[in-house]
Amino acid sequence: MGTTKAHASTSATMDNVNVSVQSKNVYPLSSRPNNDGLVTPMGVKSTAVIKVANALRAGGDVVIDAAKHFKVIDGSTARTLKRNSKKIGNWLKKFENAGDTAAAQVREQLPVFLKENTKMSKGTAENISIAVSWAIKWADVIFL
Amino acid sequence: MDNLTVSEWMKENGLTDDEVDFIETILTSTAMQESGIINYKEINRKINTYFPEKRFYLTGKINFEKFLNILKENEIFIDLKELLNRYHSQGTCKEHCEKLLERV
Repeated sequence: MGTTKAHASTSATMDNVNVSVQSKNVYPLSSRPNNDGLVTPMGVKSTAVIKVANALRAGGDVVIDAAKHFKVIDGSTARTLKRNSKKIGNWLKKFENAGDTAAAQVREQLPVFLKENTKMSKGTAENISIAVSWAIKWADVIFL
Repeated sequence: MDNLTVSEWMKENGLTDDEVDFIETILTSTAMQESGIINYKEINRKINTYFPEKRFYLTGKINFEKFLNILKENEIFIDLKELLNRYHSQGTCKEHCEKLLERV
């Protein structure tokens, strides 16, 4: 599937980090963006999920710093996410072929995984799930 | 306040998973406006990409009234003030919730 994307970029500064914001054309419904549109035998590859998963496996700083910068999570949630980033990053791997439904699937299933595999409260688990889903949706801004 | 998470409370009030996801995406995406890096046009594109069946068109910065109208236009019936208070208590988009609640 060859999805054509046109980008227009603008730049701004996020603290000491240069951040570019990419604008994408509006897509017809039949070809909603799946982050890179690459179809594999396992499904549609989501580079957004791959980037978030890799970042979390590497300690999570990129995702956590962005979530803190944009004030999506508070300090307490950030610390718990940091402690569990590798575990969550490894778990995310199974959504790498989930295409454009990945963020919604992660949001729905991550609280269950966290409940079964950590001791965090369900409120914190929900905050982290919201933040990880947000990071997948906005990966084009977070990862440049 | 009960021991429900925000999404559990929304579902208890009859909202679907998709509606909960829509509200969470609005809240987290519009929180980014405060940074000055993301503008309303980017948010419109992002939300319409993920929720093409929903009605979402933001002009400028979001506020409580605009958020309320978005919910009404999509026939989502929930107490927005309580919703934002619950997000604030739980720790999602705390400062954004405070600002949205400032003029209520």
